[in-house]
Amino acid sequence: MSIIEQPISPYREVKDQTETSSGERATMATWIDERTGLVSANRAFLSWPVPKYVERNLLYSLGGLTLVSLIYQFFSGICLLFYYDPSAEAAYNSVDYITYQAPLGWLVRSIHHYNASAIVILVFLHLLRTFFFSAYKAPREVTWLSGVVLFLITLGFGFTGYLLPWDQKGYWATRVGTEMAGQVPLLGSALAQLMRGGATLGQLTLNRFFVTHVALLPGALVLLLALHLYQHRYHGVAPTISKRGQIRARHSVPYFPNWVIMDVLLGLGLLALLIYLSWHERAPLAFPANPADTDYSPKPEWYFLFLFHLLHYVPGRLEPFLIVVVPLLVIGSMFLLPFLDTGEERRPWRKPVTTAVALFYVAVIIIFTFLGS
Amino acid sequence: MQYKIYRFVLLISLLLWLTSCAAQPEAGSVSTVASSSGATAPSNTITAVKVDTLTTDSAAAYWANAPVSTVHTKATEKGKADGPDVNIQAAYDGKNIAMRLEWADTTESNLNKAWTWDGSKFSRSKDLGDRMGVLFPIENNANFSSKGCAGACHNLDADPEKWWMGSESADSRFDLWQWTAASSNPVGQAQDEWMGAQEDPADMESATHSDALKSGGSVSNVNKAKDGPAFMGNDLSASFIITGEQTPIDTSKLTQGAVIPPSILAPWVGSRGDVQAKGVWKDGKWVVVLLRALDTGNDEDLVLTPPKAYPLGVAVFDHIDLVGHTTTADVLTLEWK
Amino acid sequence: MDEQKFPLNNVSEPKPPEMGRRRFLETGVWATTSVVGLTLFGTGGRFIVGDALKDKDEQWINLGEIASLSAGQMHQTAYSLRHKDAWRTVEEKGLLYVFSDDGTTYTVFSAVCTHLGCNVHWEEARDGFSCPCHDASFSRTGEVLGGPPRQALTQLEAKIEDGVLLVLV
Ligand code: HEM
Ligand code: HEM
Ligand code: FES
Repeated sequence: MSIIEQPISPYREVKDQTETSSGERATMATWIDERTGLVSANRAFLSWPVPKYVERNLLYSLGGLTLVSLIYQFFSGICLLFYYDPSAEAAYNSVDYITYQAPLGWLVRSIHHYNASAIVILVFLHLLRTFFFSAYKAPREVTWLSGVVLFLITLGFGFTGYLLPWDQKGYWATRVGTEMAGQVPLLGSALAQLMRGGATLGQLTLNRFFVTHVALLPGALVLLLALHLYQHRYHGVAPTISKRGQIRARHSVPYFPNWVIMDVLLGLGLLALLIYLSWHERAPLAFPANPADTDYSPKPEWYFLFLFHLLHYVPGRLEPFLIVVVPLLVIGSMFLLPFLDTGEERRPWRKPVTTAVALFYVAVIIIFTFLGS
Repeated sequence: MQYKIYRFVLLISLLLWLTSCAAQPEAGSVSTVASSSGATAPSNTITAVKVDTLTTDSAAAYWANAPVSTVHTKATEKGKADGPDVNIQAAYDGKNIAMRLEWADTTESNLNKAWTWDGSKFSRSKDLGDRMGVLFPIENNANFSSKGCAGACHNLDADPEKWWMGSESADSRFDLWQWTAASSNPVGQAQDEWMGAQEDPADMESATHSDALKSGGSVSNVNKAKDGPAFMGNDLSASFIITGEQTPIDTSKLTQGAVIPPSILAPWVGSRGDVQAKGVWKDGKWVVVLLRALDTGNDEDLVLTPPKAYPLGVAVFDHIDLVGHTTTADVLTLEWK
Repeated sequence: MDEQKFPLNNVSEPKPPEMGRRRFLETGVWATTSVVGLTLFGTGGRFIVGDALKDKDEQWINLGEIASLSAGQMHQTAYSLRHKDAWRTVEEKGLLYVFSDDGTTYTVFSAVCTHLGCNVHWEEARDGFSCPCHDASFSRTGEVLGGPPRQALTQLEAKIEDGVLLVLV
């Protein structure tokens, strides 16, 4: 009795089709596929049918563009690591060296700098897109939840990255930022000390922020992104909310190239924009951190500005409340959203309460960001 | 496939707009640093303008386009009167930087401890000439960049005899361009010096060093007996003597009260002579232009790499010694346009 | 012969699992993993927390002779002290304000704003302190006059020994 190995690739059928398409390449691909299963898997991945309404729709490209932007950020971040020195004495000098001496250092650092803002904007827009399209509704709750965590991770990147140059800006923003955590009732001072690695801001703080920025958060981000995108694949694209979309929903197009082309073109545009901004004005570097300075007024990164600026309007006694309750409320409602809004209705204009609350958040954030700047 | 290009353009421009909005507060942040370290005066920022070629001419056309920052100087010693305001401008070309400094001074003092002939013997005055100094940290220096000159001054709480200027460690030095009306201006230079850490706690000047000298420099005009000058200038009315323009002293040619400059000057050759200078006193004010290579190639000098912002301080000495000088109280920032 | 070559083929037909044994093994896997996990997280957690929760060690520093700290005037004093920052010994810098009405008792404030930790500065004209961060103002005696802070400026313990002012920072 001879034993014949059974095909194990679930994409065997897809692969079999390639064998009919003649030529060297197909043979090569077959060879690789038989050993690895990757070719057919890849082909199946790319030919995934998606409803036609995603095609040529920029709103559906926001997630993809965020992904591209993240790739740029990993790329530039890893480049920076070749020169960055995470010690309190040397961090500033190394960033100074990157910005003004290392060949193309200005470009790499400025891309990382501007792209950090771009990511925050894109993630936020993508969040709004999926929110207004009610894409968080069952069965896509986990896609949404993983998205919320991704959003927090992105902000975590921004908060920890800001300190790394160890300049006045980063130092004082972090001093204020960790003190804010210190205002949390009961747990506050322990929390602040855990963040700083001690009673004062120093080398241990820099190490903590550095490790979080370049190891913990990237790891967490990759894992959650895998979950996020797997969920997205598993459930397929959420139903459309427009009449026009419903007509187009009857047809499907392959993911590649119909959907991807948009992401790729936008990615190119984004890169061009980042290079332009970097060339126009390289990433700023303030003077080195001086804990004994009396006059420095710290300002956080612009995407934390609204929270920072809200402090101006709250009497001191209410501040711990603001610091705990506002973020808890906003983030908490984001987590709870898919379990609160469980109706069938997907059109935002037909569920005014949810929409109004969301618009209120967005308005507060935008208004206080502008007031603060 | 007809891709709707306009939507693409729309999103890109939205992104462009958003990201540049986001970038805006960043763009201004370097000057925020400068102004936040000083009281509120935005004039603590000196913006160097880009020009084709620099000269030491204080009337060069480009100065009309260079923003003027007016900075105040204060006495280091408590209770002493403030010094003059200094109007500072800066310009750079691909290779050099020039700074133009202008301040009020009712008297032109261009002699340092000169000899005076009283008809029978010489006496040596203790008077000093007018001076001005620009101080930059060579290495990044957190203390200096938030406090300015005060970040280089030590023992301020003690009596002035014990003050000293310099840095806390040898790894963190300062670059000092010292212009003196009496001895550097006549040869068209400011003396290029550097400061490190104090080497001898008893010697308050021991942190300051002159940059390396290949040749040139001034020699003291003193006779063997040390009771008078050895030479006098060909032009007896001049306030300085340049090497080669002197003759042995001949008291028969001197009238009573004649003043003989205390040194024979020659330009510094080498790192000490890196800074060119031209100063003119007129109508109650000094106008001095300093000019130096952005990168002199010498280790004792700060390398200027636009567009990096640099902290600096300025001091003026109205014919007075170190303790009596007045300095910019807050840090100044040099930026580039 | 073929069957000898591919002995694994024998298992291709799953036998009905012996539930007891399987349970036991499953429990074993989970238990072992938990022990390993707890050990890793316990060790790692303790290691990462480190000494972060320790209070700052206090130290007396010398602010100089009181003779040079004239009464009736607010003195701003920057101090630096050798301080252990984990494996480094650093020059820790800080800022204090010293005041005395009579030249015998001294009040020393830490310049750190009790709100979110910016350094306050002294404003002679207003006879008080102000914080650049959120526009707080404090009186000469450190009380909050306006702005978000909820506590007066931190007053540090001070003593005079042989005409020298010492403070505990
Ligand atoms: C969502 C992703 C990320 C965001 C939002 C982000 C954000 C930032 C920000 C705001 C800074 C300060 C830059 C500045 O001085 O202007 C920074 C610095 C830095 N980041 Fe990231 N970053 C991200 C991902 C990464 C990754 C994946 C790495 C490497 C693995 C990395 C490595 C670095 C390094 C080494 C610095 C210090 C150099 C510098 O300050 O220029 N970053 N990051
Ligand atoms: C690191 C950040 C993120 C990346 C790279 C990312 C990536 C993506 C991509 C590529 C898609 C499919 C294409 C699209 O619909 O645009 C997607 C879908 C989705 N994302 Fe995200 N995402 C991120 C963050 C978020 C956030 C912050 C949320 C919301 C809180 C979110 C919620 C969703 C939802 C609900 C879908 C499904 C949309 C649908 O089926 O129509 N994502 N994400
Ligand atoms: S930190 Fe002083 S007012 Fe906020």
